[in-house]
Amino acid sequence: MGHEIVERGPLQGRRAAASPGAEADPDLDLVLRWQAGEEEAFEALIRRHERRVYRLLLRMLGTPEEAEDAAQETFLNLHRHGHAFRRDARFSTFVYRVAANAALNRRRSRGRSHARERSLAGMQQAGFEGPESPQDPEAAYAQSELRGRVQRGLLEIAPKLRLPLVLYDLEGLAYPEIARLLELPEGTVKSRIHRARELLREALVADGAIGRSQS
Amino acid sequence: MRHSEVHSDLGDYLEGDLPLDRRALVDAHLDSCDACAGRLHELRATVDALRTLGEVAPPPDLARAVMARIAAGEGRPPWAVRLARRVPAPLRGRLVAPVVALASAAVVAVWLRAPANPTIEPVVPAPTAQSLADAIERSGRFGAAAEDVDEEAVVGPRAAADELSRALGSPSAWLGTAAALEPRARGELLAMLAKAPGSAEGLRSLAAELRRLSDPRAPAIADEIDRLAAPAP
Repeated sequence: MGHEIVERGPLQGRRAAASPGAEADPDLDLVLRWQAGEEEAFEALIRRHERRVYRLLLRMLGTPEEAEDAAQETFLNLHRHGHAFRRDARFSTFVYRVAANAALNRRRSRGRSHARERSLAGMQQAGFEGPESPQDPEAAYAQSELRGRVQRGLLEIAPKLRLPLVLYDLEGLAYPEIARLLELPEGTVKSRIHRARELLREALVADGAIGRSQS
Repeated sequence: MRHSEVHSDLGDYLEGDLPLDRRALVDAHLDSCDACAGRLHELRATVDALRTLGEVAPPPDLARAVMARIAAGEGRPPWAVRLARRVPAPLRGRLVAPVVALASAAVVAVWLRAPANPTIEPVVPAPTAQSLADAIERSGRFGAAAEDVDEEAVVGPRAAADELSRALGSPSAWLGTAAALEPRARGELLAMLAKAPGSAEGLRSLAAELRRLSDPRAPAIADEIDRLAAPAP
């Protein structure tokens, strides 16, 4: 595995969390060059991590506009505080943590209702591209509807529960990795994920997005 | 098993995290309870639905936009870090150590200014340079609040006043640090000193002290300081 933060498909290989420092940090060379003052190295680090940062923020915040703003804030904060990065964790963990802070701070700093309005409006053009894009227009529409409902359901969940859920089910991180990243006991992470799933289940059932009749 | 017990186990059940004996109990319950089996089905469908969100691509110009904001002065590291980066690596320790000591002095000064109570000995030890550096790193690394602070605004005036005080206390040591800086970095340091309230007189004293030294680097730096301390025309 190249990264401590291992991107896996949901529900795959959860128990095989990489131990920190098990392999060399693939970002180390760029980080050292950047810390020595080479700004081009920082740009390369952005390009290497922008996809996962943006994806996490989009799931957490709900609209492309907010995700982009928060992604820019994340990288500016990284630039501001990157001197503090030491090698006791992978750089990718550091990046995720700053992104998670950006998401949580953003939620705190503005009204929830405002966020919801924007998220509902923006959802239609959020560019949620599924792993497979059905060619059949009806199927494509149904899938787009489902994605909209899922994202709406996600935004109904409190951020402190939503974040571990997103990290686990969408980013594919394992419990120990999330625990390190959020500085929480592993048991707390686990219970928050289960609780968040329960809340999402209730929301999707209430919304008619899923039902027992489906199989 | 009761329904509520099964419900609380469903998350681990779905993940395959239940011990085998417990799993067997849940399985037995699910075989005979449509409500709980339905709930498990919904939970599975929820996770499947979540996965339909799939992949997204970041905006194509994200990196460029961030670099443009950095070039415009946003996301700058604290001044001490910027200065340290401009110092040649072999000399870096000579700058970083005084800077950390300076920050320490600022914290100690605040601590000393706290309301005095002669009957109570302070039980918290004064921060050491190392402990302060560690604290700064911790807050800088992961602290959400620290990321929102305009560090230069907070640290500037006090740090400048303390730096000036330190320079006056040991002009020759201070000269060594200042001379080791690249000209631009030294300009930044001196500009910071000049910003401290009431610093003009102190700067002129510093320039005079430097001129008394036999160090050949001193006159040019003293001239730089005098220019900064000169009253505006």
